[in-house]
Amino acid sequence: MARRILHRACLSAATLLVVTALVHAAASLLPRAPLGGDGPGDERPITPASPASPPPVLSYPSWLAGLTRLDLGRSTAVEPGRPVSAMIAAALPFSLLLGGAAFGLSMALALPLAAAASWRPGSPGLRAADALVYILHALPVFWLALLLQNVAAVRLRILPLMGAGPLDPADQAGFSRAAHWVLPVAALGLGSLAFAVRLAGGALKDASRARFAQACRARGAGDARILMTHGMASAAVPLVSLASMLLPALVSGSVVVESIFALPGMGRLFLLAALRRDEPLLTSIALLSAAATLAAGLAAEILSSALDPRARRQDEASS
Amino acid sequence: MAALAACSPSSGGAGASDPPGDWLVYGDTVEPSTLNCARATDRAAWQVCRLVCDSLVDFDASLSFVPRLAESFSFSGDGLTLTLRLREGVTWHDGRPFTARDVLYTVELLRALDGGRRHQHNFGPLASVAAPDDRTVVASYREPFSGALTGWRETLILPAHIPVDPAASVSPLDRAPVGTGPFRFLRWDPQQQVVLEANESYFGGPPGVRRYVHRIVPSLDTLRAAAQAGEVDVAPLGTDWLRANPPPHDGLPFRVVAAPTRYVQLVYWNLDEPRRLFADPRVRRSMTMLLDREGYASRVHAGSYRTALALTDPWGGRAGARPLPFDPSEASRLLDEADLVDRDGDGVRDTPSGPFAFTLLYTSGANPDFREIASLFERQAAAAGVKVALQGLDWPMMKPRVQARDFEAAVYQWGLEPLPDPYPYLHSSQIGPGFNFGAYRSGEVDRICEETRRTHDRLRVKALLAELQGILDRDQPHTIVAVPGTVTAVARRFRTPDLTEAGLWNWYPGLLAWRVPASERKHR
Repeated sequence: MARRILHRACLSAATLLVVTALVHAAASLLPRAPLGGDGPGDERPITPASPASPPPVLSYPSWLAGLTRLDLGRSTAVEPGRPVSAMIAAALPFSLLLGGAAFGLSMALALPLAAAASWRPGSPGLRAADALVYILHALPVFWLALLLQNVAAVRLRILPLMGAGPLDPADQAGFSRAAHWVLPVAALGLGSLAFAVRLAGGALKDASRARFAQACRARGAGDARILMTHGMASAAVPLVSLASMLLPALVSGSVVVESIFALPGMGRLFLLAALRRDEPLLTSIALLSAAATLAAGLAAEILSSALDPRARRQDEASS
Repeated sequence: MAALAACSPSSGGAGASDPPGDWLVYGDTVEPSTLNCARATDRAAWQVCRLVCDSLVDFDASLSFVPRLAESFSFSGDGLTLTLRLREGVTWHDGRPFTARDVLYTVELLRALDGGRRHQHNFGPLASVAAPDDRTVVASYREPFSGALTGWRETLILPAHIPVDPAASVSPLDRAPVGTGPFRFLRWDPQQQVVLEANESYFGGPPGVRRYVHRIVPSLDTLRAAAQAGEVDVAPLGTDWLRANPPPHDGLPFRVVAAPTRYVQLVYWNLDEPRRLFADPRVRRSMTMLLDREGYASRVHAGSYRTALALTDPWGGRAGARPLPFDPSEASRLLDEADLVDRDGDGVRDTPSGPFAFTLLYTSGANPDFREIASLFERQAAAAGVKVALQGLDWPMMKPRVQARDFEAAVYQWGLEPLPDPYPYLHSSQIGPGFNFGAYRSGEVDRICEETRRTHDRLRVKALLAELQGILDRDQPHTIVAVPGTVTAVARRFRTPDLTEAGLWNWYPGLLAWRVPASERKHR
């Protein structure tokens, strides 16, 4: 197993190197943003000319060398002069919190729903829940977010509309801060609920029909026990795959939800970098997302191997 | 403007008797890129900088110059020397005294920054600046310069004791400005808010609100909802909001204030493009007559935009203007007269070298106005046999194309200074460095632009503008479309000065006069 993981890690590192070259070349090809002003009429004759950048072939080695020292350069347009690493360090916790909480909410709702669906398929309550889940899935996330804002913040005024915390530094109580996260977490979590339910439900349904489940039933075990003890263990592998698919999203953030709820996360930072053509920031975020995707894939493979007895046996046989 | 006034009910005066208190939360979709007043170029940065730093002079509500950091100012008889007497006892937010040395330092810094572009823009033919004593600044110009006071208004004074290295890309002032202004910098939470607190020892008296929060809300939909939920006090709503929510607005938690701007929307015709499509003034006149500008202003923007009939419109230069009407049949006649007729019967007029077809560029960003103007023109031109292809580009793509004059026609917008100065837009020397992107050349217009810059006599300027407008009406180097308005939500608890042509608060005392009665305060 160790050899397979080492092989996969080397492959990931090589992929990352190729990604760095592609990202750097692509970013170098982007037209520079005019400094100052966000559109016609806001710019002034004093707008300085954008400095010319060297061709990507020449600038790539020094950029890569900086990368090895964790020097991601300085922002050129979003916050000119500020180290990109500091900007990412400030934004990343917000995206991790949002994405993590949304993933938690999604799984907390998806697992019971999926378990119930595979235990008692076709009951009227489950059908209704199923329909609701698919309606949520069909709604665009931005629409769901605006709907939640309109109902909970504008009409009922029971939750804050936006922001990562209260405006008043004196009002930093845990509840006040947490209240700001309810709507964005709900929008993001409910938006991905159907996907999680379908994946977990499929895995549990497969487990309930598997031969080991029939053997358990033959020995007198009840459906609930089979589901909770063996079914969940069997469904763990696809759930790890699901988590590995969602991990990069935690790092890169949600552009839509962060923009609508005015959260200072990675998604908004990426959008700003793209709109203002902030090359160092754009390449760093793209690179971080790529690294997170590769790392998540690697971690999923390690975890799946550890969780799946068939993979373990295969590794033992091959070694 | 009647429609604008109807949307902005009286605020009941500024309530000067109420002691300062409460916060003002301003919602903006854009975050300032820097708070270094010497490097600020975007609107959001400029808005915050003007609250932290001061200029020597400013406009009042009637757009007349008034002293600010200066106590008084005067021009010499020949108009070549401007003497500014500074206020006594003014201190920087860190407690150091403000003196004429700070003014000299700022002027020199602007000369050293960005190749001196801002220095050139603000001071024009400035020969020298001297400080005979700590409270006097004498600016000498090589020739009379009508933009002198405007330039000093645009110059926010920086502290000499916190030097900015012109060669360095960063400075301590970028993210923690120190000024003499009515608000002192408190903190900047990136992507969230910039927080300022009232400068209690401000020379003009403390501002009416204790704290100013510049809150960053990237989504316009969220910003509108935030105004309704009371989470921001002042927020731009956009004219599409006004179209969807016509008056009365009594049930809303905010007043809807429609204010004029000094922007002018226009279409550039590139006179230098290789096929010389727009070289004939008759063609340019016909292009103007093919665009229903009244319809754009009244129907598309619910009356909150004003049809601009002349470039000089925002400068009060309508006198003597002979604007071209929306007249497709006269436009067709002019095109026929210019020998642009449909020779092959395909429904498109032809030039000797091919069909009369061109691409109209527009900025495809958050502001939908440019696309609306382009679409309107495309439809109306097609009916007259002119084939227009639309190309939307985002701003970083659009700006270099227009600056390099790599276009045939382009929808654009100018942000005009309050005082008339057509030089950057029309003078032939501005074809490269300025805004004369359509490459319009006219000796008569050059002379008028130069003379407008050289005189301090407002009556003479008015006469020059009328003369200029006559030439522009004849030549139509661009099609002037509209003067946009802004529609802003202002929380009802604020008592604000009456709205004037100077806008909501970007004048002196402006925001300093905003107050909230003690009984209605939200933040204690």
